[in-house]
Amino acid sequence: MNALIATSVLGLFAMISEIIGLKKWIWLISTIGIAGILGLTVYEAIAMNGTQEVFYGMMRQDNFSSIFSGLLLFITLLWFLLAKDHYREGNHANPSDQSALIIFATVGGLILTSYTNLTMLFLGIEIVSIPMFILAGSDKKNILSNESSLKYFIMGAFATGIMLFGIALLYGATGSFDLAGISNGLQMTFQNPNMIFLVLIGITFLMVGLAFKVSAAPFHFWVPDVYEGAPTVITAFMSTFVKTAAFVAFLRLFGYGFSHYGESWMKLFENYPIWWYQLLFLAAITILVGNIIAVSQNNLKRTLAYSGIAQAGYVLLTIIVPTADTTSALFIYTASYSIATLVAFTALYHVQKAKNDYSFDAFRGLGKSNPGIAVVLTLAMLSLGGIPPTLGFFAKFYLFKSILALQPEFIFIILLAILGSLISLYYYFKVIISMFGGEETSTKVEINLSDRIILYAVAALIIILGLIPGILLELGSMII
Amino acid sequence: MNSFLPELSNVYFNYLLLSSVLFCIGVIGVIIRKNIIIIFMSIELMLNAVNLLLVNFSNMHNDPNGQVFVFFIMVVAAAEVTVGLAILVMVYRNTGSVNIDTLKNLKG
Repeated sequence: MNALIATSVLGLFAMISEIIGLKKWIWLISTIGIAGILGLTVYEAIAMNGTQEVFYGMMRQDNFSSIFSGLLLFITLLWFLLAKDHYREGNHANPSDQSALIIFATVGGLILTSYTNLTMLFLGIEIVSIPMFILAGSDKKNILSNESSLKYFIMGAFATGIMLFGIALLYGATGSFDLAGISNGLQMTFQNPNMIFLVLIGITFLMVGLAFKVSAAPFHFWVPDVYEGAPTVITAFMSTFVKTAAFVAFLRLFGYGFSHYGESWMKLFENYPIWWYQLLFLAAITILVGNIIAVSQNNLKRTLAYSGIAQAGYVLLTIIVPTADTTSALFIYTASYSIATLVAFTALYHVQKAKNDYSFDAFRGLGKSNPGIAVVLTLAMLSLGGIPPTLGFFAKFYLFKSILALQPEFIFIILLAILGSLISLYYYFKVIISMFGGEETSTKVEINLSDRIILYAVAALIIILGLIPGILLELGSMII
Repeated sequence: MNSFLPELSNVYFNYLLLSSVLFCIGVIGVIIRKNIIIIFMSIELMLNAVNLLLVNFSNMHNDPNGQVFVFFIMVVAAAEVTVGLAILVMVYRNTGSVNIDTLKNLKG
């Protein structure tokens, strides 16, 4: 848990660094700090033996929390590396405030990976969300940014209210906020079904609140607006880090609270049929809505927002049946999605900065004027679409395989997911075709050498991890 | 009246009903009102309905955890509404209005 404290201290330091005259160095300080904390997490995970209760049993350090904390810190580190240009002088007025808020959101993410008490779930969700409300509106003079911020705030606070009502009803039924206590309480409730009404409504509300946070349809309507209006670097953080953190919280709740990881999934299905159908419905609707609406978009930022909704649908499939295999699939899938999306948003950021336009037209002829960026963006799109040999293909394959291995009856939802991926190829290829197919009308996009090297290196990760996925598989198999 | 929750005695059930009604008023307020300040008030009403429910269940279970949770909700709600009002001031400076309908630029 020292990583959590270290991250908070780093956030506070970033906040005061403007006062003590370190404003120019804030990017370097944050990046090195996050890298150091990632190292600390790895060290703690190796040194740890068994699980360890911390903060009076409010949180627990186990393999689940260590590995997902590592993933979240890795995403933050990649974000800082790729957002270097954003922190150059003149590009942004308050770099230290922005750094501090990003780091505080990271603290919330770390809480969400390791909570065992619903109080910490609530606090973690809020600590992630409140900085994001501010960051979405960080372009203060821009009316679109203002609108995005206000919409995000109202939807976020509304979702929190619904989630809290669910927590309160669940507390009424089981008499505990602790995940283990809830799990025991639910077993008793099912033997003596007097409180079943409270349990069902409570879990539904909790699920709806979390579905808002992971942007699952039909609670996705705020996502495209918020993502389009917010500054592009912030959108990159929202669609990767925040979504991953919310999924980890979702999985921890369902894996440890509402079912036992040890239990066979068939018993789970007999005991909890309604949640199972609700989640299945959410996943199916999310995959269809995300992919179908994305087809009709004409700018890349909104397309990526809808693509994020569709990808959330695939990840929701793993939460239906939380076992060791599907947890590992969630880890690999969120890692693959986050890397590819960060690369895509960074390419978008540079093009948008040069041309002041993020529609598909801005990418016309990019293959001739900037072959480097075009290739990187192509890689990201192929990975999101799930084309071999990228990491996205392996992640999707492993996810579908791990679900099918549990029960052949899932074949229908898997077929639906594959149909969704086929639709998604249309809009991912639309970007690639407009880059390489169109006639040359575009001006050259200037990118600093160091930024270019970082971008190529991160894009190379997509291919390298796709060819040797053993590292991710090894980490994923250690989670449970 | 509370035949579907036989384990709850009447007092606890009435509080459950009251906080559900308050919560629904809050939800409806968020959905139908146009003034952003009223929307913020409706969100506060939702959170306070949750507080009432938590205190009720805490009393029912004879367990102080529920009341501790209420303090967390109060603190976070205060922090959240601070941020919300700051965002609202920023919006008001740019548009000169607190009506939610002025913000219709993002669609597609």
